[in-house]
Amino acid sequence: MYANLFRKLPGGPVSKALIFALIIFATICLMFLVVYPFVESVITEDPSLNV
Amino acid sequence: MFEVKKEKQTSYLQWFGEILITLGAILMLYVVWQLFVNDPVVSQSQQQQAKEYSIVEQKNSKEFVKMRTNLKQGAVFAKIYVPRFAKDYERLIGQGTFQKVTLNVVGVGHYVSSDWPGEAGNFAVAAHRTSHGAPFADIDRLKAGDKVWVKTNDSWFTYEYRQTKIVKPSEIGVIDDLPKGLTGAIAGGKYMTMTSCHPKWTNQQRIIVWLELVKTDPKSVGKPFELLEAQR
Repeated sequence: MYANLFRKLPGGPVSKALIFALIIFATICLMFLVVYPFVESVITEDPSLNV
Repeated sequence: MFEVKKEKQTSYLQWFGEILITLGAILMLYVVWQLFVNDPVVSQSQQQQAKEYSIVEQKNSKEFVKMRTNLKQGAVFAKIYVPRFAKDYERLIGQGTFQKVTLNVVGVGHYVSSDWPGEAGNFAVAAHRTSHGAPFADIDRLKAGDKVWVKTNDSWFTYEYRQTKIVKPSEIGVIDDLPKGLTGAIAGGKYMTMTSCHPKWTNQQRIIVWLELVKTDPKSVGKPFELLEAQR
């Protein structure tokens, strides 16, 4: 999967590596700023705490 | 023919393995986000909210006794000061212990079944030990001689440390009016109970810290001298 993605990236090995790193960085940003806060907001309440 | 089939199988297995590794990485990143990205941000935000809350307080001139009957889950009604945690430690206390509206947002939550600050009985609060600002991260550092201050819109309450105990989550008697497990507790005593998860990073047990009211001052006299000293 990742090897295929890497092969399909444009440019030489260095530019491929840079683009690949950029994609990973963008994915982490998306996770930290959008996905995880959303998941956090829908996680259900723990009723055992509501004494 | 056989070689091609075997190669395809390997390729599928490789994809499956990579997907599993990716899912694992996503889950691990979630923990990293919660503890090292979200936690400091929320903690800073809770401290800031507490500092700015005085503006809201001034708008609410009602006496605390009248105001508290209408408090909904998550509604802020007091502030807590714990110099043992940090000299400038200041957090808001919200009504109830629902995670979504109180513990994860306000920080410290008041058990609705417990009493109010300054009253005879037990004023019990809960907060996260880790994540969501971790307001009670250092609860285990409280020791004899430590004081905790609670400020409502009309009074300052000074509570002094009495005892720490580790209990099972099911032992809810620790927040009773006469706290179960508190050595020397007497009926009619004015106690405060701070609860959080234990050990850190798990919720297998609860850490309980009991304090006792030693002083009450009207809010008009300003911040208690002892608190000012502790914050220096």
